[in-house]
Amino acid sequence: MDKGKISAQQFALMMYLFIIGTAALVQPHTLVSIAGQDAWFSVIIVGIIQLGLITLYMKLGFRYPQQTIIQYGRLLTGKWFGSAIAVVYMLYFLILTAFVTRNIGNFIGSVVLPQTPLVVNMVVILIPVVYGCYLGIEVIGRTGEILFPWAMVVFVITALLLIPKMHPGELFPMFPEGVMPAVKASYPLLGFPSLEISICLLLIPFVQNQQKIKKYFYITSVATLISGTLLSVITIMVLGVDMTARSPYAVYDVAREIRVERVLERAEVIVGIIWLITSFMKLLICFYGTVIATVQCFDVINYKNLVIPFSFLLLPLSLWVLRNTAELEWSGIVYPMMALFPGFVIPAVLLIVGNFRGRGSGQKQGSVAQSQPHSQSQSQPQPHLQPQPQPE
Amino acid sequence: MGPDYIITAVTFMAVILNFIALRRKASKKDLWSSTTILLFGGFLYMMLIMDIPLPSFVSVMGHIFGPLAKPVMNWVTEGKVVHG
Repeated sequence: MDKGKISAQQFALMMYLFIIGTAALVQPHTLVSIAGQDAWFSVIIVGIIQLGLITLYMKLGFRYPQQTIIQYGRLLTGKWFGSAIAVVYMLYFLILTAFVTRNIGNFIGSVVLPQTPLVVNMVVILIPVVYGCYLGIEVIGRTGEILFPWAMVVFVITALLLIPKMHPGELFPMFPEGVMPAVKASYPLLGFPSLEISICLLLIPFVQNQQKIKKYFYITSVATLISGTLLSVITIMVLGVDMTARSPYAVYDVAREIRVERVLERAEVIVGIIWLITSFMKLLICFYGTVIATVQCFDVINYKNLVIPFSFLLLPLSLWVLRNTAELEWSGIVYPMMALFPGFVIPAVLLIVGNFRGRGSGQKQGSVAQSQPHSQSQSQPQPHLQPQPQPE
Repeated sequence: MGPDYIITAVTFMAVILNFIALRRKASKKDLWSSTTILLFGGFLYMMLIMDIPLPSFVSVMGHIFGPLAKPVMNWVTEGKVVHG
């Protein structure tokens, strides 16, 4: 296992970049095509659900703050069920990483480098990701810290430059068909990216000052809600409903509208930079999560031995997950169903089982709090079912 | 086609080099896990470039969740504002 540690602030920044990730670019298109000008309301609905999911993850994560979900999954449900849970998480994060790689490859291939083969685009983005993962969680945390201010500065400047092009009238009439279209549009957003936040259950053990996680994580969630809503509102006000729904990378197309006299034109690449920053971080965290899940699933000793093999698996996997763009819309329906198990069902079941077993063993053993070493193996003979003291 | 052959060759070179490198210094679990992942990646890539009719992940999931996914698809797209 990686012995590195990150601070709660680094964790929060990583999660912000993870949640915004690839969703920032493709989200307005998906939402607006279903909900029209009320797409911003879908982001708010999903943001509220996301807060509930984060509460669930925090409750579960803080019961066993020195272990990942794979480790306490085995402790709580036994060897066979625990191994099944480990395999589910390993495959889920592997597929997620492949999806993100494919999204980035598609984006670069369709708008930035149209004549470059898809495989080459994906190899180029995978090289720094593999190197970052090889260097460990501390480097990933510091990368997030360095990249976050740049992404924010570019986002704010872009938003300010777009003010003259905004037409608030595009947002009206509000809710012409009631709130149901907005509720429906929130469905694809639930799977991508809200349920993916379950990756935090693999990262919490690496955080040093865990008592601050809760506060920062909630701030992060609210910040992503605000950013997502702003992105939708700006896109609709600049491009209008029709154009946003027809453009697969609406946020990128919005930046094409930036024109400051004849001094500043073709600023869309600047937006491309933000998007590559957030997507890079998302891919890096997903890749790291996949490697850590596999290491714990198969009791591998050195995680670095799996980093390069996974990069060779990811490339064909990202070509295989989607064979054509027609499947993209179908994946928006199917993916949330798949993500529901690792993102909600398994954590909820583990929390309930943990509560029951913790209570049961608490009655038998008294209230002796356990203290486990960080690098504890899953195969220890004595299961520790008592929750650790929760950081407040 | 060029990059495909290069990547396939690199993948199988990686399998061999990885095996040689890890055989001496890593545990057996590490060695076999990494070799299996590499081989799986290599064969999947070969199947893709040889156009073997492999259903994509999304279509596999579509079959698994089909009975549930179709009504959801109808519900979500019903009254869709813009058909982009």
